[in-house]
Amino acid sequence: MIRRSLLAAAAAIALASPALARDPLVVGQTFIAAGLDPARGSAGWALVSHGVAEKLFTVNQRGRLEPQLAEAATRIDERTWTVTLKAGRKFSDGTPVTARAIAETLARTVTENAAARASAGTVTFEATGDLALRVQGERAIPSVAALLAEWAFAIYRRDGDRTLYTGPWAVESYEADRRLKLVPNAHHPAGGGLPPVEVRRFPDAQALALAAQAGEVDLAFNVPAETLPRLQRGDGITVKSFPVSYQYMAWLNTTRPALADVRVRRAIDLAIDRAELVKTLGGGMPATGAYAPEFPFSGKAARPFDAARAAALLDEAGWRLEGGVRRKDGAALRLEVVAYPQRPDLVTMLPVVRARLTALGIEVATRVSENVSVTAKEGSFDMLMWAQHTAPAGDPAFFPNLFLRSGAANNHARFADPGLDALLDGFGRESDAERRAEIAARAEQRVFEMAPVVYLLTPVWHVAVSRRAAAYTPWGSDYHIVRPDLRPAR
Amino acid sequence: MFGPICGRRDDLLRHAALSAVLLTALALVSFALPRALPGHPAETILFRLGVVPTPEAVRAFTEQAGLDRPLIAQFVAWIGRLAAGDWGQSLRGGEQVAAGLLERLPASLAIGAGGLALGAAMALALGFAAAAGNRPAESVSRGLAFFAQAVPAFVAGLAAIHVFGVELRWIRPFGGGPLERVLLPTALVALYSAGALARLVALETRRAMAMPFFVAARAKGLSLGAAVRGHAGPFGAIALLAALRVEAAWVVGGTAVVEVLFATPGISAWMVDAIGDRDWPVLQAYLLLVGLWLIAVEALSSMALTRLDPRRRP
Repeated sequence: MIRRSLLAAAAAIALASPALARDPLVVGQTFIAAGLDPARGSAGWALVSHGVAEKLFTVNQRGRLEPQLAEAATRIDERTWTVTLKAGRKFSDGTPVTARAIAETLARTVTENAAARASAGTVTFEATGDLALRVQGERAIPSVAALLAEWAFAIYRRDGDRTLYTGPWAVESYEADRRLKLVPNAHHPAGGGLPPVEVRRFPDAQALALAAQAGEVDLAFNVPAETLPRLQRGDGITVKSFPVSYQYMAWLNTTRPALADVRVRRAIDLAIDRAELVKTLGGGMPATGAYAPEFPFSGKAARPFDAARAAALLDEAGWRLEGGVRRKDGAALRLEVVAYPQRPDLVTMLPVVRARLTALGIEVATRVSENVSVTAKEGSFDMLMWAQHTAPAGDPAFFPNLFLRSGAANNHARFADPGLDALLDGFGRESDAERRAEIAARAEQRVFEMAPVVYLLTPVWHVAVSRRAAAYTPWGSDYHIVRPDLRPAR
Repeated sequence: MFGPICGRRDDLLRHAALSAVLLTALALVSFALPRALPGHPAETILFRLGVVPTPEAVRAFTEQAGLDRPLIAQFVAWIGRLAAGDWGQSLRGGEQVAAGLLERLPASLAIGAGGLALGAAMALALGFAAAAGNRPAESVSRGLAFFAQAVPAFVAGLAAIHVFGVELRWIRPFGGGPLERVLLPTALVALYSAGALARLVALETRRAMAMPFFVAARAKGLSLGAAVRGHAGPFGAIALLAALRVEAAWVVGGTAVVEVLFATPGISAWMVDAIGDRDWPVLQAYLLLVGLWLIAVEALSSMALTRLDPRRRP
C-alpha cells in the first residue's frame, strides 16, 4: 500500500515537473514596450530589455562594450566604418541575419526615430557583402560600437505586419500596457533551454511589491525601498539590490549671479554629505563622479564632504555670515532647489540638501516641478536635482558631450568652459576604449574643479525574486532585465 | 391641422442645431485643452526618449507628426479624419488611437459601470432599510459615506490587495482570469459610491414617508416594509437615478486610480500616461469620448427620469 502511494506520488511529481518547467516565469515591472515596432518611440529599448531584440553591439555586465550580432568593426575614416556580422545568427523565424536585412531596417529606423539620429545625425547603412555592413554617419563616428549599442539600433526584420527579432525570446502575444508573452527563440544560441516568460506591467510599484508577496510574479523588478522589510519576511522571496547607472546629481545654474562664481559652486559641492543622502534613501553609494561604479571609466573616490572648507570658500567669495545668513552687499544668498516627482528619490533628498545648505547660511526654497523638461529648458532654477543614465551605450563621451559641453542642448547648468570643451574634443579623435577612459578622467577632473554639477549618489534598485528565479542576478539598470540567465531553479 | 407636425419638425431642427453646436464645442474643447498644457509633445517625448531636444530634432518631430501646421488646419484635418473613422495615432508609440481606445474600453467599463451598478444596488438595499428604521443599515451607510470621504481609494486598494491577495489568498488580483481581476477594483468602486447614494435614497424615501399618501397606505394595513417598497420607495429610486446621472459621468475615464493600482490597462490609465507625454492625439480622443459619453448619459437619464417621474412630463 505504502509502495503504491510512493509510486503514485513519484508519478505525480514526474508528470508535474515538466508542467512546472513549462509554466512561464512571470516578470513584473513598471513599464512594458509601447509597441512591437522598434522604430517607434522607445519600443526598441523596451524590447531589448524584455529579451526580445538584440543590437549589433551591447554593454556587458562589467560595463564594457562588446559585439552582440556583430563580429568586429573596422574604421575607414572619421565618419565611416565597416561592421562584420557574426555568421549563423538567425531571426526567430529562422531566416538568416544578413547585412542587407539589417541595412534595410536600420535605414527605416533612422528615418522614423529621432533617437537614432541623436549621436551621428542621419546614419546610412549599406550591405557590402552577406555579412559586411558599411556604416556612414552624417557626423563623425568615433566609436561605431558605442553608436550601435544605443537602444535605437535594435535589430529586426519586417515581414508584412509581423516584426521579427533575434533575441533569446520571441513574442507569442502582446497586450498593450498589460503583458507580453514570450516563448524561447529556438534559433537563438541560448534559446533551447529557456523557459517561457511573461512580462507583466504594474504601473504602481507598491502593487508590484504586493504581487511579489502574493506569489503572482517570480521577479519583481525595482520595488520601492520601503517595501523591502515585508518582502524579506515573505515565504520564499529573496531581495537582491544592485547599483544602477542612473546617477543622481544637481545642476547649478551658472547664469545666476551667485552661482556664476566658481567658489560658491564648489562650496555647495563640498557642503553636501553624500553618506547622509544614502542613509535617507535607504541605499545607494556616494557618487564618485558622473559614472556608476560598474563602468571601467568611473571615478574611484567618493566626492568629499567638508562643511568647514565650504564655509571658507563662501567667505572668500564675499558671502559673509551675518545673523545666520550669508550676505554680500546686503543681499542674502538665496537658492531655489528644484526636483521632479517622476524620480521620487530626488524629492526625498530635497529636505536633506536644503538642511545642509541652510546650515551653511544659505537661504533655500524648494520646489517640485511637474514638467522638468520645461524647467530645465527655461533655466528657471538655481539648483536642479536630476537623474541621468550617464553611459547608456557604455561610452563615457555621451554624458559630458550632451550635458557639459558649451552650448550643448542638454547643458542645463548653462556652463561654458573652453578648457573642458578642448578636453571633450579628444573624444572625436580617439576610438580606443582605454584612451577614451583617460579623456573622461581628465574631463571629470575639470568638472570637479569648475563644479557646474554636484554629483550626489549612485542609487541602488531592488529586485524581489521567488524561489523559481532565485538564481537571477540583476545588472545593467533596466536595460537588460530579461536575459538568458533567467531560468527556473531546479 | 399641421400644427403638431410643424411643431415636431421645429423641435427636431432645434435639437439638431443644438446637437451640432454642442458637438462642435466639444470637439473644440477636446482639441484645445491638451494644447493648453505646458510643454510641447516634441520636447516632452524626445526628453523621455533620451534624445537631446535640439531645435532640429524638435522641428523634425513636429513636422513628422503634422504639428507644424496652423492650428485651424490641424483641427480641420482632425475632424476630417474623425469623420472617416480615423482617430489618429499616438505620438509616443505610434499606436492607432481608435484601436487603443477600443482595446482599453471594456476594462474601464467593467470597473466603472460594474462598480456603479453594484454601488447602486447596495445603495437601494441600504437606503430602503435605513429609511424603514433598520439601525445596522443606517450605520453601514453612514460608515461607507464616511469611509469614502476619509480614506483615499489608493490606500483602500492597497489594503484590499494585501488582505485578499496576500494574506488570505482568496483571489489573484493581477494574474487571475478576467473576472477575478476586475472583482476587487469593481468592489472598490462600489464601496466608494454606495455610502453617499444610500444616504440620498434614505433621505428621499423618508421624505416620502412623511407624505399623506404613505400614512394612508399604512392606515390601510400595509406593513412598513411593503409600504416603503410600494409607495415611498419609488421616490428614493428616482433620487438615486438623478444622482447616478452625475456619478455615471466618471464611469468612462474616472477610474484612473484603480486602473493604475490593479494594473488594469483601461483608458484612464492610458490617459495618465498620455498626460505625462503630452500625447495630444490620445488626449483629444479621450476628451472627445468622455464628452460623448456625458452627452449620452444626460440624454438617456433624462428620458428615464421623464418616464419614471410623472412630475417631469409636460
